[in-house]
Amino acid sequence: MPRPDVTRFADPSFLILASLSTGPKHGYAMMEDIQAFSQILLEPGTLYGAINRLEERGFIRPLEYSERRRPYELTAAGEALFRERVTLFEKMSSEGRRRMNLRLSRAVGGQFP
Amino acid sequence: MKTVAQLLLKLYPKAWRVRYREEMSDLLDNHRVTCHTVMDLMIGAMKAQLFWERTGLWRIQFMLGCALLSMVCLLGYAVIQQDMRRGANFPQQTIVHQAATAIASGASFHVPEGTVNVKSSLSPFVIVYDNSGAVAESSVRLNGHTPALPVGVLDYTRGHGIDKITWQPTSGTRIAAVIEHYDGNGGGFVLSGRSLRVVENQETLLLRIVQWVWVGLLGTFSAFLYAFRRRRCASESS
Repeated sequence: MPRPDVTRFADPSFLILASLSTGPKHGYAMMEDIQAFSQILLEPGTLYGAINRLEERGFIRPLEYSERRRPYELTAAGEALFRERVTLFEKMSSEGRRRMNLRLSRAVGGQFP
Repeated sequence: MKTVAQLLLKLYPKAWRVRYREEMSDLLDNHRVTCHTVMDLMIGAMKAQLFWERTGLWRIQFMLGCALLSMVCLLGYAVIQQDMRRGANFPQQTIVHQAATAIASGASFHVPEGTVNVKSSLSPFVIVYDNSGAVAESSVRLNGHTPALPVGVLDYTRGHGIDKITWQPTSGTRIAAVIEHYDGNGGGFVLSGRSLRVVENQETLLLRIVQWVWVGLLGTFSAFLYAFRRRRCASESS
């Protein structure tokens, strides 16, 4: 059973899972994709540290080399973990929004109670 | 910068390099390498060396942990020992300063002759030298004579104003001595010292305590590392 503790919100592992959720990518493509959708630049040391953790725990797998580049893809366990995390983050996000609105509705004359 | 980044890949463990070097190297060829990249690679390599699971990892963790704990103990001992040694310069510093000021201004200053036997007494003593380095007055005796200062001490003090030394006039007798040069009244030097016997006994005790703490820390660290590795093996096998 894969360990579920490899992803936290916005940590490199989660960002890699998110990047690979749209299809296999090699390291550089992942780096570019992650920067495009999250504005977070994962440097090579961090990126490959996370790739290694995800690969060892069976959440991603390497494909055949294409020249010097090696693409990775999500495994079924990786996809399940990604879905689970996205659901959790959505719940946290909607609860956060609900609480924020509640606080705003309580504000009187621009002052929070 | 790119060359530095490529060289940093060599810091990763060999097995890691066999697995990832080719693709990391390709990534670095295409990536805009900055200081942040270099730092990131260094941290990545350090983490991989210390925590990436492979044969013989426990040896590296054990040796590094032991080296780190030994350095902490050694540093702790050195800091406390130096503080104790510096503390042994009091009250000599005050004595020499007051004596030098008094003699230089022509005020009366009297040293009780030969009252301190440095082999047996822990009391501070005073030696006054004239400007040529000859003993003018002395309250200390060692085997019936005022012990002779090592060559060059007074010359150094003449150039620097004050000097603090550990003086060993004879085997087994060590003295914390402070020497100050004065210009007025013909010029000269005042030395005040006291036996380091008590301080050295305290240093020996400190050394024993640090040794036991060191052994205790190594034991605790070994037990912790063993438990950590067992837990990691168990978690990976499940």
